[in-house]
Order: sequence, then C-alpha cells, then structure tokens
Amino acid sequence: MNLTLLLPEIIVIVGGLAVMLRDLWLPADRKDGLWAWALAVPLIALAATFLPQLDVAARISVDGAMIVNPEATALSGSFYLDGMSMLLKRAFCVAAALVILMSREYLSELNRGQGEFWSLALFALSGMFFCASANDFMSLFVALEVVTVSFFVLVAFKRSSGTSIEAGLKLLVMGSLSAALMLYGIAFVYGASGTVFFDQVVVNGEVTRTGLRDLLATGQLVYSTELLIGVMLIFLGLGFKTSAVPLHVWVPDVYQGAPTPVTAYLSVGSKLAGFVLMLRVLEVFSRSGPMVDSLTPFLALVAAVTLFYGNLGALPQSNIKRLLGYSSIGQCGYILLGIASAWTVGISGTLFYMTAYVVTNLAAFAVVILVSRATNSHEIDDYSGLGRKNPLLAAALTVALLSLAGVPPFIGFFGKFMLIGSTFGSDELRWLGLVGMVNVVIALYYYLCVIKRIYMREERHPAKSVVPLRLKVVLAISMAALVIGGIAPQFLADKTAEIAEELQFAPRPRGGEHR
Amino acid sequence: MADITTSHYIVLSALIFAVGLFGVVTRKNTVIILMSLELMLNGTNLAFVAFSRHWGNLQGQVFTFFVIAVAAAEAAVALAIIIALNRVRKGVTLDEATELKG
Repeated sequence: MNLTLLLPEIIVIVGGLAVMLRDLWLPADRKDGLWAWALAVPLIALAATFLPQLDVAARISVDGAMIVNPEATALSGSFYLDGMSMLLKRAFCVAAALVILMSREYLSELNRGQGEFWSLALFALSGMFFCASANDFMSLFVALEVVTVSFFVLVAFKRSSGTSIEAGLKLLVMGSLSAALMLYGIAFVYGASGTVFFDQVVVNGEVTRTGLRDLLATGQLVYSTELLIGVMLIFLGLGFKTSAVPLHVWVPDVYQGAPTPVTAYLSVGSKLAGFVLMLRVLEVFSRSGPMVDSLTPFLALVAAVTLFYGNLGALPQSNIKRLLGYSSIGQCGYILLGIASAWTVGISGTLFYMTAYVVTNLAAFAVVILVSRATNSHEIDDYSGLGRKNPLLAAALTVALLSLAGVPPFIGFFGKFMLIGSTFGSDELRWLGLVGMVNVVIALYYYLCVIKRIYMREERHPAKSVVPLRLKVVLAISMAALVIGGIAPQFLADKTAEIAEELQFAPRPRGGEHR
Repeated sequence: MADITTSHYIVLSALIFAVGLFGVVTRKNTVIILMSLELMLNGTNLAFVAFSRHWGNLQGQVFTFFVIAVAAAEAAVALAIIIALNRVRKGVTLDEATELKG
C-alpha cells in the first residue's frame, strides 16, 4: 500500500469532517468564521500536491514498451497518479478555494446549515480528486457519485426557495438516470472483458489480475458490438456531467435555479471531473484500433450537436445564469472537439482549455454574484450601465466573457486555437473544425450583446455593488490568470503537451499523418 | 428443464432495466420516478452478478455492493428533496417543477 500518494485526498476528507465537527461546537452567532477553516483545506491540499513524494514517474519502460508504473498506483491499482491527475487536482483545488471565497456572502444570508455547506463542498472536492485518479470502473463510479450526490444537496440547499428545490430535483432525476445508463455500460464492458480494472496487477512476475489496457494491447480482448455499446453508454453517462448532448437538458434549469456559488462550482468542478474520466476511459480503449474508428465519429457528432445546441440556445436568453448555462454547454462542445481528435494533438489543447475554463468561468460567476447582490436580479437588462457604476467590475466581466468567446489576448483564445487546430490534423475531422469556427462567431454575438448592455445602455439600477475583500481576491487571481495565461501561454501549453505525451494515446490508425 | 445460462439472466436484467427506464421517462410522480431509477440500478446489478458467475471472478459481485451503497445514498437525498418540494410547492409531481424553463 502506497498511502503517501493519497495524501491530498486524505487532507480533503479529514478537512471536510473537521469542518463538520467544528460546526457542531461553534455557538450559532460565531459560525461565520467557518469559511476560513473550509478555505484552508483546498489550500493545504494544493500545497500537498507539490510534495516530492508525490512526484513518481507515471510510466516505466519494460522490454521497450511503456507500461503503468506500479509505484504510481495505490489501493491495489485502483488509484493512479499521473501528470493528468496531478494537473486536474491542482485545478480542482483552485476552483474549490475560489468558490469558497465566493460563497461566504451567500451563506451569511442563511440562518443555518453553514457547516453542512462547507463540508459538502469539500466532500465534492474529494470526489473530484478520486475522479482524477480513478483507475478502474468501481472507483470511477463511486467517485463520480460522490461528486453528484454532494451536488444534489448543494443545488437544493436553499430549502425555502422553490427554484432551488426544483433545480435539485431536475439534477437528481437526470443524474440518477445517467448514472444508471453508465452503470449498464460498465456491466456490458465487464461482460465482454471479464474485468473492471484498467491495469493488470503483477505479483512476483505472475499476473494475479488482468486489466483492460493489457487485454486490449495483447489482442486478448477484441472489438465487439457489446463492448462498443458499453463504451458508448459510459460516454453518455459521463456526458451528463460534462453537459454534453443528449443528457444536457438539466443544465440551463439547474444553473438558473441553484444558488450562484453552487452554479459556479458545478460549472467547473463537476464538469471537469466528467472530462478527466472521459479522457481516462478513452485512453484505455485507444489500444483497440476498431474501437477508435467507431468512437471517433460518435464523439465528433456529439461535439458538433453540443456546440450548436449550446450556442444557438444562448441567443434568446435574458437571464445571465441561464445564458452562462447554455454557454457552458457550448464550451463543453469545444472540449469534446479536442477529445474527438484525441488521436492527433487534441489532448494537449483539451487539458489547456479545461484549466483555462476554471478561472474564466469562475471570474464571470464572481461578477454575477456581486451584481445580483446589489440589484437582486439575474436579468441581463439589469447589467445596463454597469460600466459607469462599477468600472472595474464591468471590466472583469468583459474580460471573462471575451476569454470565454475566445478573443485574443486572453487565455480562452489559445485554448480554442489549440482545440480547433487539432481537428485539422486529420481529414475526417476537418468538418468539425469548421463547425467549431462557425460557433465561435455565434458565441461572440451573445457575449458581445452582454458587453454592449454593460457599456452602451443607461443604467436601470442605481445601486452600486460593494465588492468585499474576498471577492476582490477572487477577481484579482482569475484576472491575473486570464491575462498572464493569454500573453504567455507557453508555460501551461508545455505542461499539457508533456502530459499528453505521457498519456500515450495509440497513434491514429489512418489519416493521422496529414497536416 | 433446460439450464439457465448467462444470457437468460442478461435478458431478464435488460427487461428490468427497460421497465425502469420506461417508468422514469413516462411517470410524473417523483416517488414513482425514484422507484423506477432503483429498478434500473437493480437490473444492472443482476447483469453484474450474472457476468460475475460467467467469468468466475468476484469483481461483478463486489461492484454490486458499491452500487447498492450508492443507490441508498441517492435515495436518501432524493427523498429529502421530494419532501422539501412538497413543503414549498404542496405536491410531489413534476407539474410542481415547471417554473424554470426557456
């Protein structure tokens, strides 16, 4: 057992329990201080990910073939620590810390339940951590459900508000439905292969357990229809978390109805957890050529439909949270575009965009929280005149929306550039790149409509937003990341390219060489 | 009597899963939707156990335990949300959940 590798997870779980217990001992009038305890947990976990003990080579070379390093696995192979899981864990830590900073103001309006909110947010974070490191279908399923079930409660947290409960119910029905579909897919894969593990376990030179990676690589497990159905169902289930069509219908409703800090957390944390699992499952099955050939058109089609659905759906919206919900479906389409071209250069762009998305979307939601506190509304019309009232806030929202739209010189531009560029690596996916470009234009339109209201219209609400220090910190961090990441993207891009190299997607069987 | 093979179990599990899916899609009462979701999960459990016997390893059976535990957690949260819905909107059908749309 190599428990050192699980240190960040242990910190988050113990921290979540500590916050829960601390809440019990605090008198009711002093519960406001709990946010600092909650904030400390992701920060300590973030520091822990930089420990040298966690820096283990993810792959080793045996007889010329790169295989998974047993030293980088724990819990008898169920937990795997590689560059991708490390990058995502850091992104999750940053996301959780920023969301906790944003939630403090919202929570002080509640008369009870603060402790539960913080501990649920931390338990969701632990689920995301395990998602990033899942190395078999059991831990994949359980980790994903830890995230989902925590979010059921967080979304429905405002018990007196009908919309919050309604959003929770919608998330619950769709979430459980997609979990059941995914589980049925896992059953199919297990039925076809006889294993739910991704990796084999070798004890004293003898294989004590077979894994999907090895079965596929040695040809013991060949492509079959039930395997394909299983993998597709798994992708459908994961598509729910990432808000991909066809399990996307909950997104606008839940984004609108949930408390805004929870929406922000849902839009980055839960989404990225789904994407990292998609990449992991795809990497396992990339060892089978026919599987790659069947999955690529499926993923490309889903990406194209998701792009159009999200961006066209956003056009008529008048509620900013709903608009960001549709925009989040559109952004999911872009990331899927990179995943569909995983066999060329898509992975690096996908990881880059996923990381960039965290700061971009959280910046937008931070402004939404601040404006709604002053105007008590989420209508886009109430953003009129924000440029005169709160110039800095207006500038922050503008930068975040432009980065989401993919305008240089912000970080979102390089993400989109890499993702769309990756589709031109193969002849089959060139059309998808064109779909992506058309959607950039559509998306630019509705983001610019919001920006036009901010600067060109007369103000409707004279109330100025007061920006507390905590949210100033959130905005400062995310703006710095957006601008620095846009001006000097090499640092992150080099890192993601290195991780993509390590992931070893099998080379595309055909059509991969054309540039 | 012919032997009961793995495919018999799989057909049965697919039927249970399909009944559950049908219930989730067509019913309006959230409690019945919850029951249908449990039915879907149980259909899956049957498939796992059948495949476990087919392959002669215990992974499928172990998986079933995880599914049961997760289903219990899900059901607890679901019932809490349904009770909260009943308090706010005085009803437990999906007709009470139509405010958010567009």
